[in-house]
Amino acid sequence: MTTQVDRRRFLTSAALGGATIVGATALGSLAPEAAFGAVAPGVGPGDIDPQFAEGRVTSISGSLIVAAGSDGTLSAIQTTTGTSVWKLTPTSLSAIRPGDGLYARGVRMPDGSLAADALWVNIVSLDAHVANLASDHLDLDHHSSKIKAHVISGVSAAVYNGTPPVTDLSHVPVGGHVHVVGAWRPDTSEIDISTVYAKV
Amino acid sequence: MTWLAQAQPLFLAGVFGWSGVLKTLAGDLGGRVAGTALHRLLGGVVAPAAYFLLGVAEIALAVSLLVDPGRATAFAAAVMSGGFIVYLGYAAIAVPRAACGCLSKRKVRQTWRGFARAGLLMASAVVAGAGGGAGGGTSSAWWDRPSWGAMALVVVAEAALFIALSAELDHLWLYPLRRLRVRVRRPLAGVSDVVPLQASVSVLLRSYAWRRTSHLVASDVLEHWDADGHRILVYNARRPDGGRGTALFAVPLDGDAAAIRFTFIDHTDETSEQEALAAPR
Amino acid sequence: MTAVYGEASWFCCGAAWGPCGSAGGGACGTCASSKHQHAWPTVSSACTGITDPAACGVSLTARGCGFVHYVTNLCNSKEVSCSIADCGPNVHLFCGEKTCCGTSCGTNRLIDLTASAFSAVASLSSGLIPVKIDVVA
Repeated sequence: MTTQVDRRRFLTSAALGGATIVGATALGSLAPEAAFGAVAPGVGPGDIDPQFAEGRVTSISGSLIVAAGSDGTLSAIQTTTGTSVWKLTPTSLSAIRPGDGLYARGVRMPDGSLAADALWVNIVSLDAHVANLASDHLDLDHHSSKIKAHVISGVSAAVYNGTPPVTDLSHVPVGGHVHVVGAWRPDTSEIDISTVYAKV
Repeated sequence: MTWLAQAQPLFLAGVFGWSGVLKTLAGDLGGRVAGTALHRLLGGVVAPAAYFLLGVAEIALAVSLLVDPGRATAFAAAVMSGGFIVYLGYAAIAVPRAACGCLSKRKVRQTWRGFARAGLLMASAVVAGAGGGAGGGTSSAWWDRPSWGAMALVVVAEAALFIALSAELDHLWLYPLRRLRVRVRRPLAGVSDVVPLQASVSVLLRSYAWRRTSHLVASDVLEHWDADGHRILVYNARRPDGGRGTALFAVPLDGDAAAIRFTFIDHTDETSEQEALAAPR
Repeated sequence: MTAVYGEASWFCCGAAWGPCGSAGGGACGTCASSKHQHAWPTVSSACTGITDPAACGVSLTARGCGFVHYVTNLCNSKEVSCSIADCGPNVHLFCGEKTCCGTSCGTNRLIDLTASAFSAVASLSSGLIPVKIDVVA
């Protein structure tokens, strides 16, 4: 705990002491122009992205996650302390469970595994029709299927007409259409809402 | 209870007439049929024609119910209703997520309400037939010693029930009612003094600071906390030369994007690199 | 075609986990979340009838399955090339919806990217991004 507090204190001090970036001035050695060496070949349109993996988690062994892809292949995903994990909110590797769905982006290693920079666990992005607003959830229709979208206090937010996200979801239009990013509850037709995008 | 049987042809004529007019005159046959179980059953070429002909049949039935109510027209209405029930059963099994396409261009998921609605029509046709005269005559026609008040009540009640069972018509009454309830009760109003994480991330992603530094960021948010009126967002980072690091953004909780502070911590030599930049505004 | 500016979201397609509206390969039969692909509102006349971009005053060139678009995230200038593999998004349901980065804005929901294509230019936790859509890199 003390190490964590010390680390946070150091990072806070560093962050608040950082520079504001307001001018079109070079970032020195951090500028994109400072990159040298061969540019990594891009992925062709329609091609499978080798730096990307998706599937359902079949096993977790230390920092190694094995996921079964939709095409039946198994992906070995190597994580580090620098791998971000999204499971409705930023969290840690310990929050991942077998049966979770995931998308991963990182760097493909020579042994075929993916060194993950970012994991998005159970994340869904869907357009839906709003059938009802209840006290703790929205009833959504998505491609003729019913979805119960739970509102998590302090986490779920709404974006109205492109304005900054707020925690007030009472203006989500009943009978209207919205876009939702959320976390699927595995093996159910329920999700937890991260953000609802609505036009009001 | 003659008035009960007398009212049924009026109710049925209204439903079939309206349904027939929608099918034949509303236009865009191909679009209305696309995605319905009928389209799946008959294909894209035949389905629109069948849809149109069904509408013509419904209009003919509606006219018959009005001008010649009796056992024959009641039987025809029962056959039509029975056909709908069979069609809904096929749709529920073969294409459970397809729309009915029965009453409107709106594509809505089929549920028990569709079956109940078809059952209501069937029941109405049976009552109409039971009230028909012996030999199929018009001894209980709606204009024959009518009890207008009672008949009107029955027709209105049945129409209300029909609308309540029609998912395609929820926008006329159910959603306005729900919107009124939301306006009164204000569910999901949230916590007013909480700045959600998404707000800080949104400010950052739309900022000039992000446009200048996002090429260094290699991950999504690693961790975050609040300090001194700022939200600290931590990302895994990669230098242009490939070296690893940590990118820190201090995003003001008041959303002032111009005051976002950026720090890169190089993992190689543990020094923090900060660029002092001129600030033309 | 001159470049158009709009909003991009992402979707899942193919045999996938979770609520996935485009299971089974999408309208073109080849859609998969791991491929750099996208859904386009005018991939066919039937699709255009559903998405109805004209309802928002938007005119999009009809393009068939496999056509390549170059999509640039206006928030960070990252670009991805992707091919059409499905019909969508439902433009007419979100007329006038706008997302901006600074003064660069995208109006109307014009394109849906697969998860791999979207994550090449933005984080998947970002729901909507303003983009430029072009036929050349």
